[in-house]
Amino acid sequence: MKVFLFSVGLLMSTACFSQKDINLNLVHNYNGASFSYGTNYTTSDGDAVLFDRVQYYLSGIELTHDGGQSLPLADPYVLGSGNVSNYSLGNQMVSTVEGLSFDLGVDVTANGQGLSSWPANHPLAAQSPSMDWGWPAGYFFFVIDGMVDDSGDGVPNRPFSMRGLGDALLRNVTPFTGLNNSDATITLTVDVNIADWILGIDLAQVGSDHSGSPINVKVADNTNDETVFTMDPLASIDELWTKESKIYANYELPYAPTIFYNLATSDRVDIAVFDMTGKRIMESKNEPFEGSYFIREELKTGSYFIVFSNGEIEENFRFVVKQ
Amino acid sequence: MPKGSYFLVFLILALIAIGSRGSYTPDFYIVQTYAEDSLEQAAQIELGKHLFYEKALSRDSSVSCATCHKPELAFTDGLPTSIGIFDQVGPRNAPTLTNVGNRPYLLLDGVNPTLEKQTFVPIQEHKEFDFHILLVVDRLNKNELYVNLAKKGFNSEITPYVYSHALAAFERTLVSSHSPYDEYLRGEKSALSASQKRGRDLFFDKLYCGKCHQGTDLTNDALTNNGLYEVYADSGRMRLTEVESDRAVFKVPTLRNVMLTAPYMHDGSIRTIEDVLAHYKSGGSHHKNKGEEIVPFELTNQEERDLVNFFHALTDTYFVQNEAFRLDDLKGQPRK
Repeated sequence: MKVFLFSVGLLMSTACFSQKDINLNLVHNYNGASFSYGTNYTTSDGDAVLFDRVQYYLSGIELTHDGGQSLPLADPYVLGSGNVSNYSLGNQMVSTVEGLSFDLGVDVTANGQGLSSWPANHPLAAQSPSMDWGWPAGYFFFVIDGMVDDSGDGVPNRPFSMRGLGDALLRNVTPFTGLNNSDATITLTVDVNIADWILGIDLAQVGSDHSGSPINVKVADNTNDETVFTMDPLASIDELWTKESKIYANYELPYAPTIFYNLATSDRVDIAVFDMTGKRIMESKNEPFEGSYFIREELKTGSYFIVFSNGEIEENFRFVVKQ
Repeated sequence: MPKGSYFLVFLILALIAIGSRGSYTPDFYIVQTYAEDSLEQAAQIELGKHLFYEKALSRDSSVSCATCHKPELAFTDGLPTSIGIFDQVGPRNAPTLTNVGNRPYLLLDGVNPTLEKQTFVPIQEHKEFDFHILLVVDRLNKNELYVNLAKKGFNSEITPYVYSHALAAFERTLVSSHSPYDEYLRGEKSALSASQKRGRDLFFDKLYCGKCHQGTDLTNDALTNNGLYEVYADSGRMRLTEVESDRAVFKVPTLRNVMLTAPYMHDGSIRTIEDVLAHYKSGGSHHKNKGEEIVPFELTNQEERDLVNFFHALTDTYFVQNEAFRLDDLKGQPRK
């Protein structure tokens, strides 16, 4: 009889949950305006600013679900990119998601392990452009690269690079509560206001700062102090996608650029790279409609075209390789 | 004699042989991870040795690890600071790799915790290899020998993991334990001359050298400032920690093979060992983080000669000539 009651209880408890795909939708914006690389924005001091690259790690991702239960994700890492909105948090045994919490940065353990510990395509594996720095053997918790106008002509001209390093920069982002999402596929939409990260920082004085310096501490502190991440539990979680394709070349490795893209489609795409004679050099099938494409070939110096297509769209973009 | 007795005699002889071998190498010397009977480990080390000399690790295929870490110079390069691709001059002196497997942390400011992680540093550095690890492994996977060794050693194609662990496995075989001073420590009192013995006494007893340069590898692996300058161009460990007490703080280096590793200091600014002694005799420059043990002292000419002679006793000729560490003798194995 006891066994029977235990079995019934077990069945009832598991019946409360179901396997659901959980997606994280990071809506990058600049004070409410749509965010994209190479676009001019205005700092709080009134200076023109543009961004080449905004990337950051989220770790320690945990869901609160079904009556306040906590579910730390088995693989709790996301590499957020300013041009990418959609991230999978995997298939989880939950019915209703009630809360979400995560940290900015990489936890101490993983930060000490290094990139070779992870399989290819994992957020903590080798990336291009790099998200780790060999000297102190740690990950960049965030990368905010761009240019700011320091001459008053409205044209961003002075480069800045803020790359936060060191365990001390890990920040517990204020948790999100009060959610009540029990959709078949659960999408958690979080707004990411990049303008808040740079508040109070004189970008013209930053230069190239790859460290745990006070400037990068300020960026990390701004995460909560200025509420970079916000979430409206009552907002619609309709699927969002870009209406206009945005493609941008990152030349951190001029001999092997990375193409950041976010396309005006919700379907997967084929990617091909051609030289100026029209010869196909690289190709990749069935890729996401947003992401980054590393030119992982040692191409000769010159101009090339990258083409994104899927029958619905065809986008061409010219980039340069400089050996 | 019964068969069992033959076996017993054999066993006793074997134990005596093992015991005598054990007594040859005092237990304070490092124990290599290398095992002769491990084919996997042998393949890992062999791959690591190839990679150590492989110029394809650098973007223009012009430099390798061995460019700055030459065996004949105890794995240093004889330059004040190292030169990377396109003849770019780096900011720091190449450290010796002598017994590098014993070091608790790597790089001159001690900010890198493992050999495996250190292997990624030169790839990224613009003034060294200036390349990307994924492009490196793509190149290496085009080499049939490397692919076969990776298969044997790691049951894998070449990945960042294979790259870093193979190189680290090779570097851990760079063991030096056969200098005259080592022999002296093993009980061979005639291994040091009278002058070298006096120099040893000065080094450890009269002067303060042994406070930092102590133990098996003549380093306590501490991070300190030695008063080289009042104002440093290189902020040392502070570059990572942002802490003032780490300003111009560097790792105490091993003095094994010190006569082969000139020039000296983190920036290679001191050309000879005699000039190093002159620096310490002066007590160095004032610096707020300078080690308190660094105070002025005097030496007679004879004492200085004795000290230098003692430093010569730290040269392990077997180590620097060991063919097992060179690419042209893949059959040789590092001596235990």
